[in-house]
Amino acid sequence: MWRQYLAKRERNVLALLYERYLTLVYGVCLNYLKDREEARDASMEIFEKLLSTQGGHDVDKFRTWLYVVAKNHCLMKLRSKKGQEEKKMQLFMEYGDYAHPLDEDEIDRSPQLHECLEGLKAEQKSCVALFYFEKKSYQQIAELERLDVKEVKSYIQNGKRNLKICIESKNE
Amino acid sequence: MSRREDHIDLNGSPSGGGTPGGGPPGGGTPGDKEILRYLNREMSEEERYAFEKKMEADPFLYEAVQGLEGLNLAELGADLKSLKEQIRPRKKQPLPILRIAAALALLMVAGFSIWRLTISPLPKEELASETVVNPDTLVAVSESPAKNNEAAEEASDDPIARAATESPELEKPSEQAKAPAIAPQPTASGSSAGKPIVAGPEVADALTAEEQADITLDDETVLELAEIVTSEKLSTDDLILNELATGESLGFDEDSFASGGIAENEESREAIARAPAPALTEARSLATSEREYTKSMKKTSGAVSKSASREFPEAKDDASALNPELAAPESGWVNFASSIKNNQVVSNDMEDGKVGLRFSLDENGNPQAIEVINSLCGPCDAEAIRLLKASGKWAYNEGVTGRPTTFVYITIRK
Repeated sequence: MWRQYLAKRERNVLALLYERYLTLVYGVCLNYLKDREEARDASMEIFEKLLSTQGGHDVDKFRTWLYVVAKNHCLMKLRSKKGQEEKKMQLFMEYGDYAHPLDEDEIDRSPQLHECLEGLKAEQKSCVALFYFEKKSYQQIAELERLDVKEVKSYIQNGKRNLKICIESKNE
Repeated sequence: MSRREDHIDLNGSPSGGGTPGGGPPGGGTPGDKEILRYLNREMSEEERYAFEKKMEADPFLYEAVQGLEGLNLAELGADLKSLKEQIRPRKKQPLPILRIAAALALLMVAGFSIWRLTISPLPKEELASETVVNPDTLVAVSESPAKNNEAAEEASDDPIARAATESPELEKPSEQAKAPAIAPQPTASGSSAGKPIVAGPEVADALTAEEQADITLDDETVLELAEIVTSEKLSTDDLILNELATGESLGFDEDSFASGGIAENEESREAIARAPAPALTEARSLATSEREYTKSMKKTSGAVSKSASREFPEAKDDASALNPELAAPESGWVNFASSIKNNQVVSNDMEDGKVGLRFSLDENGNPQAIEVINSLCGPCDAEAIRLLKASGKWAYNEGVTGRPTTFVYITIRK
């Protein structure tokens, strides 16, 4: 559909395509901007941005590209709102692959992963293991570990990041 | 735009917002429907885990869900709807001449109504002459002069009631008095249009009169009336009206089927108390009750809204907020209440009281995932669930997306 839009530049085509991702785009905007009105504005600005784009992006990865566009747009808005402080804290995301070894279809069970897993902090390790190996939902892990769901999500995210760094250093 | 269109559109048309990436449930990229079900906690443990696994592998989804978790589903539905309206290509405008003609017609209607309601002298005499034309009605006037004065005063106080008084529809009750045999309508005659109005055509006419009067009223009043006409609060007073029209109590009170927004309404009770006995002509009963109904609705609609929000706050942190505006029985609240009352099977181990049930609707409109929120007793809860299931289909209100949970009280009477 993106290819179709680029060929004919019809607003209707892009509108249909964008509607499919609207919930996701709006959610991402809310996640960064924390304000409904600003997130609605940003969602429309991103649509306008797509309308004015000249193309040249990989059609097959439209969704990934849209995510990067949306996220960067919101970060830019945040930066302009909060001044230069944000610049130091937030780096703009680059378009690329973000797959984590744990999120592959086949979970990587290599020795490196297990070694790195052992090296994680206790909470990160237990949350990652319960989620990926025991297939427990955030809520279940929160109940088992007597944690808040937000904490569980945070431990999994940080655990994954540390695991990736650890595995990459071992592979080098 | 009809509700059904919205519903399909927001929930997942094959090409629309339903399935970004076209993924079927359980595989591929989750669509709007799955996201909404996740946010509304409608997923089983397995589905939930599968969804969260996808979130972990997909930062777009992960961050979107993080952002959306802060909203309740009604807010989310409203925001998405407004965004989609902005994105969609605008439809072709009708010919300018037609638009101008429509605007002129509207202006004329509005101007006439303003003149009638403000400048034109209030036709109290007209009302009197209309009411005394019929000898049957004269009897009613002589039997309850105080009521008539009161009704006339109220009518003059209240522009809406006044509009209703002025409208020719009010002559109909007089006509009806000539043939009282046809007056009482069966109380539970399933209203085919889904509106719980069972007091006969006069009520519909009165509502039409109110709607006509809306054109000239200020925004706030229009808003109030819109609430009255569209929300379930209407059905409480329909019930009262129904009791007045038929001259018999249905045997259940408002709070026996209060669905969130329906709170006890002292003025409505007063209206019942003041209404003429069934021995009087049906015509007076209807004429008075219509005005009192209108007045009490106007006076109390704000209070009812407030009490509704007090009783059922929209939980900010809970995705399944108890929003009383989300759904209503397809047969209307009156028929729903009748069904609850008439089909109740009570046993000795039950007690009087209310059971609060939270549930969502399946794709056919049947209540599903019913949870007891306010428990009364084991057998009572079970009976309340059975009654809800047997009460017929429900429908989400306009603008509601996904399958959020709604809430209802079922009153058990031993």
